[in-house]
Amino acid sequence: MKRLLAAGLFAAGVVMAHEVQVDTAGTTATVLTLRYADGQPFAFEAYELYPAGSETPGQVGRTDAAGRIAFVADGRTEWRLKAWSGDGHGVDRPVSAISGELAVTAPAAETPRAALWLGGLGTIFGLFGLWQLYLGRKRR
Amino acid sequence: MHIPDGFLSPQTYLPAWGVAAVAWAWAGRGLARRLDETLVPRLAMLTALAYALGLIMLPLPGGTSGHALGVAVLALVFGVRLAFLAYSGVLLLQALLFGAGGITALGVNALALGLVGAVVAVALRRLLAGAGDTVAVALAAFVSLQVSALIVALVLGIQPSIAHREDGTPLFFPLGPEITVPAVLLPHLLIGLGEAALTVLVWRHARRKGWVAG
Repeated sequence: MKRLLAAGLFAAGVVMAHEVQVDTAGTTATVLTLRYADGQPFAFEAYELYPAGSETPGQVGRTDAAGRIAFVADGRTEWRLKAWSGDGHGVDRPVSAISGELAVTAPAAETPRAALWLGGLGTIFGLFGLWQLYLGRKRR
Repeated sequence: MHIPDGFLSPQTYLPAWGVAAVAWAWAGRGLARRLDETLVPRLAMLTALAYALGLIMLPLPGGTSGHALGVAVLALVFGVRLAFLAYSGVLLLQALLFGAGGITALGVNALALGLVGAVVAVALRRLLAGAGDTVAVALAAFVSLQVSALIVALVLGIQPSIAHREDGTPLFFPLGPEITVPAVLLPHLLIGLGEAALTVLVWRHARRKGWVAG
């Protein structure tokens, strides 16, 4: 009987060892949103997040329908994000995580896309204009 | 379909930079003689068009986005060498200003899109000259885009086999050609139709203006 009880306890222990427990807790997560230039979400695509300097990812998965990745930084602020789609779109760049519950992120002061667009056009016409000047002087 | 930074191994992008440098030197030889004062404003316009096209992302079925290139029209109007130089400049600007395509990947992007795209477009246009202008130009633009897309897909797809850890984990782009080839080519079949239509439109305009012979 004792042996049977011991075997039962052992078996229960083995069963418990295979159980996956779920704890729910509120915490501060960093949310990265990936989208194409036209605003379309980079949805359901694969990603890997590496703590800075590490070759082992801290998190892997797929972006959600809105192209988001939520992760808990555990005090490490510098991370590297790799995300890709089968057709070769994606990013491989450093990202900063929110550290601490009181951290507030402001949108990065990015140059508006239209200004960059016009800047590029200006560069093209400016360079060709310089070339035209060079040819004009050469001819004279 | 510009390949971004971080997706290609040095075994890929360093030789590509070397080959591209040789190609740029070849394309730039005698530039002052070939790019005269009448050509400069036209080339500036079509280079600006290619730059703009590359930044207009069109949503495609399957949740991805794509854009036309404008390489074929540059090549058909100005020839391979000028088209390659101009489109390399476009790629550089797009990489620096928008992160659309990487600096490390610039050699591969320039060769696949700028050089191969231009060569295929010009060669097919000549080959199909008997089929009539519209058909020849449209097919040249369509096929040149597909060939460029195929090269990009293959370059991405071979990364796991040429750069990986001992346990086989890919160090750079992780998907093989069985995924990249259909994923890149299928959307570009649709984009190719738009590229072909646009190329025919601009080509006809260029012919009316007497920018191109024949």
